[in-house]
Amino acid sequence: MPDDSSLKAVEVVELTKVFKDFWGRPRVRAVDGLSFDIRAGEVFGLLGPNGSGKTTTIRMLLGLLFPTKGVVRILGAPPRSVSAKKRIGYMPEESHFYPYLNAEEILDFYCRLFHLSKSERQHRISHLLGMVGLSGARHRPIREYSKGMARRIGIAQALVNDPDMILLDEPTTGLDPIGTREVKDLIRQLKNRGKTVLLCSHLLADVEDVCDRIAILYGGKLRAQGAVSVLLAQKEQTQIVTDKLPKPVIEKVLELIRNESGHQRIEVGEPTQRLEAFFLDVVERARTEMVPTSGAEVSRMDIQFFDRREGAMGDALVEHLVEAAKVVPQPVKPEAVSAPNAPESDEAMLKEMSEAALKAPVARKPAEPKPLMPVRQDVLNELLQNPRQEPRKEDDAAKKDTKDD
Amino acid sequence: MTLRRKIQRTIDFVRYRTPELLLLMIAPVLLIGPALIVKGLASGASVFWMATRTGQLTLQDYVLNLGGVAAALIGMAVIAVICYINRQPIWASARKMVLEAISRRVIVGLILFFVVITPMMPFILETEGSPISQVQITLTYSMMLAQVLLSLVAVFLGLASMTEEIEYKEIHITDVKPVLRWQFIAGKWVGVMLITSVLLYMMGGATYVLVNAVRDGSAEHWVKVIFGRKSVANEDLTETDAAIRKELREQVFEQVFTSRLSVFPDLPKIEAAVERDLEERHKTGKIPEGMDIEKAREMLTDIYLRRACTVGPEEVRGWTVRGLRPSSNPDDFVFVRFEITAPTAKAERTVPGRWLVNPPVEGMGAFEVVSPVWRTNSYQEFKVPASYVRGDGVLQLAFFNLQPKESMDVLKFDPKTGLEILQPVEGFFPNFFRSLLVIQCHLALLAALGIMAGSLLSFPVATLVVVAVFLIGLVSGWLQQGFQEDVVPTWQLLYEAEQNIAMKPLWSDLAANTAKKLLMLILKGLPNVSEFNPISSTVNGRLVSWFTVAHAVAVLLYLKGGIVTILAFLLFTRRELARIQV
Repeated sequence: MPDDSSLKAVEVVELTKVFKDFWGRPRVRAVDGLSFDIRAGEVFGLLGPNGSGKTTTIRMLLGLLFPTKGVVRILGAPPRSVSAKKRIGYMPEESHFYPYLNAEEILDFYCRLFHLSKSERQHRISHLLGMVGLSGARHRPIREYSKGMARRIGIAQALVNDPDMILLDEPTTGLDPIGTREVKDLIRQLKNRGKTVLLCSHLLADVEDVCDRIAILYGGKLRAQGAVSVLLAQKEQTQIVTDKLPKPVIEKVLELIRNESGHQRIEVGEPTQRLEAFFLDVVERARTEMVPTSGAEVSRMDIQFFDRREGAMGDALVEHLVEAAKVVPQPVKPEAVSAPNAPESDEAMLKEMSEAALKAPVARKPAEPKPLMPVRQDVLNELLQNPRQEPRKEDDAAKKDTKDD
Repeated sequence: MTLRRKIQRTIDFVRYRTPELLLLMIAPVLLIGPALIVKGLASGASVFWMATRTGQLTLQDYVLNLGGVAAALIGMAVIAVICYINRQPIWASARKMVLEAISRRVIVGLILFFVVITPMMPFILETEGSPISQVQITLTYSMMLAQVLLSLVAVFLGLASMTEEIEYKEIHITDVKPVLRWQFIAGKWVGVMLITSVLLYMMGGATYVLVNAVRDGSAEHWVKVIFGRKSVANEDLTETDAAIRKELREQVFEQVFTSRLSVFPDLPKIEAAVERDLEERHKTGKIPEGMDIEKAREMLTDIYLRRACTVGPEEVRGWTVRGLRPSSNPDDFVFVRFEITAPTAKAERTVPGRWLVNPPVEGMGAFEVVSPVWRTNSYQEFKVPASYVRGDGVLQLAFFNLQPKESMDVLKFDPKTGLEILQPVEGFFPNFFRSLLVIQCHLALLAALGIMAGSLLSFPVATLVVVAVFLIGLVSGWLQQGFQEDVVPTWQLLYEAEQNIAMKPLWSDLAANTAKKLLMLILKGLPNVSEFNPISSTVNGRLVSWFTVAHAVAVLLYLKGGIVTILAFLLFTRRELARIQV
């Protein structure tokens, strides 16, 4: 049985970082006594406004900065140990790549640092470029890339080693909504494969969509920490979502609620689609109509090629994905990160993860807005059968408050 | 796929494979060295025999020579093992360095500059017009140009690469990958060395072809063909002129296109006279106040040596040279190279004199060289049949000052460098090749220096530091010479002592000496172009031995380069690569 520490992908204890000036005088206390853990297999969000110490914390986790005080362990090792680095993927906030190399050469360089064989390098580079939609631009120097394209290369390089832990610093910055959605899908896929993800962002919607737990920083200190569902739950309110109802029925429902609960604050309105979902729907239609574009191609943010070997490529891959899409989604229990130097257990775990991941659904179209809580059909029926009060006049000031996911 | 796209793909492929291409290009060079050593050993080990049996080598010299070779070989083996064990990260970093270098247009510009300038050298440089001066000037400037250009490339490639990596945060992604920082730096160094080495041997090859063309006159011929005119030296020749010209061309072979071991004569025996004088001065109190006895002995030795190497009018001065290789082959010669200094005239002039070489056996006539036109204040040579070297490797020779007594014209020879014997032991190519190896050691040190500066400092500061070091390196030899000389000249000190003139206070001498020693230490630690300078040796046909190469490897590569590299490793590993960003 793994001990408790092996379940922690990241341990941060009393982490402090003070930047000093040339004369050694303290200049900025960027991080101040920060402590948190990230469990293996979860998606952890590090939130905070600009200048709250998120990036400094990530850089200390990676060994690019040294803590003034405190302890950092990542995958059970100090940040600068090679054993930890072998299992880490990192996508920085800004995409800085060697401008004289092209996409293929950049990935080849990083693959070489992981001691990958030539055939393995070619295999991974080809698939990663396809995954991020840059197959057609693979021979163009990076300096000619747009910011979004460079971000895509950033994603690809972070995955060259099929890492156990991925640190993403503002991963959706510079990406169009499609790219943003794809990155979020990718994060979900990584989670399904048992990977640990640290997502650092100030885009709350992104974090809310994908994170299991979050920590909120302000002024270098931890202000809140916990599971997203727990932190965001509003236990004092109830939301009901149903198909379109005729006006008399709505009046009856409102009357019933007033009578039964005595609450006077009841808001009724038509739920709106999220802009992201609407935008993706428009683009999807344009793609269907084959409208030409010179930007990044349609990418396929699936990382399952890491699990395949030579025989399962090409058409087999498509079949594989189609079959996977038919399978009813199963919740995947996060697995502990295996200890280093245990290749047999790694292989077994990888196989298990692969099977689980293949059963997971592949996101093909924008998700429909979903209620926070499931609709209780029995309550609705009861409400509809007891229309006792006059319908409430609609208040102009409270037209709608639809909550989706 | 269109043709244009195919061509572009091919160019991309070749560009990306440049590091491997450079490795292939450098591979033959790695074979030339061992091949030359084997050839040297096979030909009676003359080079090695001569280099260790000059009769002047002390035990310390032997230890240094053999120790240098052992250190060079062991160090090479250690470096090879380390590189092999860490080959993947080091090679990944090295090949990225090469790709980065070829993307910089400045490298291409420097190569083009060399390619354009070098062939023009024999015709744009002012020479005496003789073949030997043409060859020597061409060889000197081509090698110097290559060394200076490649030194700039070596130092600035690493510097620019490191500072840009850090400045543009490219290293943030690379450092997170499983590569240790020392491996990353070592890879950069390997990459810079790969580029500069290939360029060095390409430039060396071009220089070799060029000086051969100048030597055999084909360069002049091509100038005539291309420009449709005659060169200055290509006049219509009479028979006598042709003979002179042939002799001049032979001189090129004998004095440049060769590698000759340098042997200096025994120093005059002046120890007894110095001790007597010292005792006398001690008794009479004529040793300057505050000067210790050792310093006084050193000064007197210098004075007596110089006195012993002067030749007054109608006087004769003899030298004994040991450690030469006797030969009965009439085609073998040894060369006497000397410089006469005439103190009464600063400008160059000619003086009458006669050289006489003692016969090795009785009954054999002395070898005599008479010339009324020995130039003063410049080096010149004459050759003596190697059969005049005695069986025990000794050559005795004497110089007669043929000026009349009334002239009062005392001629001087520097006691240490005024006369040397040069004995051919090998051809030009091995010597030239070894010179390039020594230059490569200089480049290795500069590459390490550039990478260290770039890994610790910002680009402007690092550039300033490196340029300062580079300029000091260029004049370091001259500066060291200046610091070695006494603050107050010897003759003045002794004169003042004799006249009982009060000396300066002791503390000022001490302060000056301490400052001098400190500066000397710094200068010795910094790169020094004149240190192991192989160019002047190659140009004068002097042997650049394998011992010299080993010594250069040990000092420049391992000692100085090693210190710089270890410092770079330690400091860069402890450096935070990110800056404040909250």
